[in-house]
Amino acid sequence: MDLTCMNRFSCRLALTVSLMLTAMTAWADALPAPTGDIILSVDGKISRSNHDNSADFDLAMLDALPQSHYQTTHPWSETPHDYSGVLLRDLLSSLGATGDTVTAKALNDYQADIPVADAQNYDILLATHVDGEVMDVRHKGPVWVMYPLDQHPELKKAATYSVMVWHLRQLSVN
Amino acid sequence: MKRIRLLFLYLLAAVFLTASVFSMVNHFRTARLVSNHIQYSAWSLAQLELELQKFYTNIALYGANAIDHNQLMFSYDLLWNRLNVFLVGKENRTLRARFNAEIKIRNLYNTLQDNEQRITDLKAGDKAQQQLLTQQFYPYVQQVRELVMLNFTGKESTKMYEGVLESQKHLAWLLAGLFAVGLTLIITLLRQARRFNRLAHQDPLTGLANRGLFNDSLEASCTNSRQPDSHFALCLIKLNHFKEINHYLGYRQGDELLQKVAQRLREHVRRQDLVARLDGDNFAVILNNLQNDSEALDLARYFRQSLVFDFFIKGRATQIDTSVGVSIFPLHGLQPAELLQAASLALYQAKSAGSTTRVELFRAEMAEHQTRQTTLLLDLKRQLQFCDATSELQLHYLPLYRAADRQLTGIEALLRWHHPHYDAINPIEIFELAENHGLGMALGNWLFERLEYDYHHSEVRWPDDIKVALNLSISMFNPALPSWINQVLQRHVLRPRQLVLELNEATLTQDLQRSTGILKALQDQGIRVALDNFGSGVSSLTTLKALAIDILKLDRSLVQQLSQHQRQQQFVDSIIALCHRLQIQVVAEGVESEEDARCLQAMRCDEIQGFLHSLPLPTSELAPYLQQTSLPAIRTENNPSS
Repeated sequence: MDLTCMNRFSCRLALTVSLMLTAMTAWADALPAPTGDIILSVDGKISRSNHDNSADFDLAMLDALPQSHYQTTHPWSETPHDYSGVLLRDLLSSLGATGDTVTAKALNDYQADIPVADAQNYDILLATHVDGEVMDVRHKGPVWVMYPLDQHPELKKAATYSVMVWHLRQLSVN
Repeated sequence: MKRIRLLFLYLLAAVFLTASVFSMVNHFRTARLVSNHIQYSAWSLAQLELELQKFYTNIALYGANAIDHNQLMFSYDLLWNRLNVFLVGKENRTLRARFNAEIKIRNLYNTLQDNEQRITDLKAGDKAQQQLLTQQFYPYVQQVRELVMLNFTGKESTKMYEGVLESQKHLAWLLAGLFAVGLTLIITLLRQARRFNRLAHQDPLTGLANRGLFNDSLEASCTNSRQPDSHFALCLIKLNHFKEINHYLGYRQGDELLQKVAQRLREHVRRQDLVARLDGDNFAVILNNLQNDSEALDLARYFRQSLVFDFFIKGRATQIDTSVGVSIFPLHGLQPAELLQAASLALYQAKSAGSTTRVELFRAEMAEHQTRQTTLLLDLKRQLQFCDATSELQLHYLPLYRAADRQLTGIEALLRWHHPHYDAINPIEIFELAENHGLGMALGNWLFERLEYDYHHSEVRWPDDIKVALNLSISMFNPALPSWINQVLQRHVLRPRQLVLELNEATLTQDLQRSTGILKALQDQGIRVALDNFGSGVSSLTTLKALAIDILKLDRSLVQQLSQHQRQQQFVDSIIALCHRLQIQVVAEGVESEEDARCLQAMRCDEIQGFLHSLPLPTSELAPYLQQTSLPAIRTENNPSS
């Protein structure tokens, strides 16, 4: 059976299907499936995902997003360090997130709510590198929610420290 | 302004209270934060214990194949991170410093790092390695547990908690103290403000409203009484002869009297009226909410009645009397200044001799009188600037004759003012006007200047040694008079022995001792002093005894129709005889008939003056009289006719 062109109707159907496939491929290109270990998953009120309404990221995917960095001190270090990674607001907008808060859950089961307004007002980093080095679990990696404390002294308070989640594994937008 | 200040104080109080409450709340929040800090530390240590436990358990679980190697490594990494968190940074500084925690945890951290290879290489069934690891970490599990107990359940933790509570209690007391002090301060401030406010509006002597409050109230009454049928009255009150009473009684008693008057006033006005003391013995009452205008006079008469009383002091009763001037809003003015002016004019009238009730309501003619006074004063000031033929202010001269032969011996210079609007002004009024407005000296100067002018412009020469009598204003009769006259006469054609200064009894007897000195100084220069109008006033013999006057002028009341009354003749004859014994010359004033003149002549009166021989004359008409004189003419180079 000639599958290429059985009749005009079938041709049209084939075209439609192929267009849909192309569109889906284009979607997949925008948020590819992770190839390495998944280090961060984002779910909840997002409009783009790559797995079961969840957007999974490996380190390479996070590194591929626009990177920012700044130096700051915090209560868990005596000296300032340079932190880099994707800004929380950039990640959220790239996923079409629409919520008010983001619940950050850690590998050690710690969790805290980050106000989305904070992300709009401040450069909150999902830090993956410290002083240029990839952060591993031993050094609060793989992802650490970092606030620009030195740049905004008003942030130096317990409420901020409690949402600076290390060992970040999952963000739920709600 | 007052309201704004008060509002500010209340605002201040509110801010203080808010601040106190805020500090209290803040204090408790801080305390909570401190306990939170303890919570964070607790959390941190608890997490450490939990992750150590997990790792410790995972070694066993891995040995029993319950978990895979990755899970073991994951718990290893988490513990690594947790120990690092505990050992580095500010958050756990307090915890590290207590119970040797830092050394214990650092040892654990070192042990963990030292065993990295062993754990990485650990095989699930390797019991020996597993036991080695368990043995190494077990003591730390115990130590961390111990640290948790010591920090959060032990004696130390209770002490810390109690410390926080204690400090909280201290701080609460401190704040309460601060609150109480602040509140007291504010209350004091408010009371002080109220006191100052009262003082600022109160007359300290009488406790009545002072001038400031009175002005404000009058202004307010004018503003608030805009409705067509609303009336109020302004009464100005003054004690009669207070100055004399004060002088006689002394200032303390004077003050007591004012307090008494204030008290009586207060008791005799209505609740809605305002009583104020303006200054000295000047009081004011604002009678608010009057039904009609006549009510004002009734009320004023009522309270004035209470101000007529006997004031007992030093065992003597002094009769107190008061005058009241009343003006009514809106009848006599819509502005405070107009009402004050009207009431003041009414008061002036009430104080004058013409007032029988001593309470006068303002009338339009009072304003006319005031206008006349003001106009006259302004004009007098101008007139005193110069003297020439066109002057309104002039001297007329009344010839003086020797009684024996009717020869001219002198002239009395009399002040005359023909005002273009008010016609002839009484000399007494002119002198009063000058006296009351500090023009006495200017008038004195003018008198001499005019004398000089008239002398030089006379058609005939003034006889030598002609006596020139001059009336002086009261204020000029002071210790400086002799030297002043001396200076004036230096540049004047008149010689001292020609000059006679006429003074009335009241002026001379004000202060006998002082008058004696002045008279003596004048007489030393050769100037003669005449006691004017003797017989019209007190006519005390004491005056004659005490003061060495040169001439006595019999008042017209003693002279007129003398020839017809024998008793009067005996009286005058005695006075003349007495005067002559005292070396005092006698001049009879107001001689109008030949009979009287002859009578006086028979009594050896020295000189006479009056309509019988001449009216007071302007210089232009004086010439024929001067020519009749037997006195030789004065020859001076200045005399144009010489």
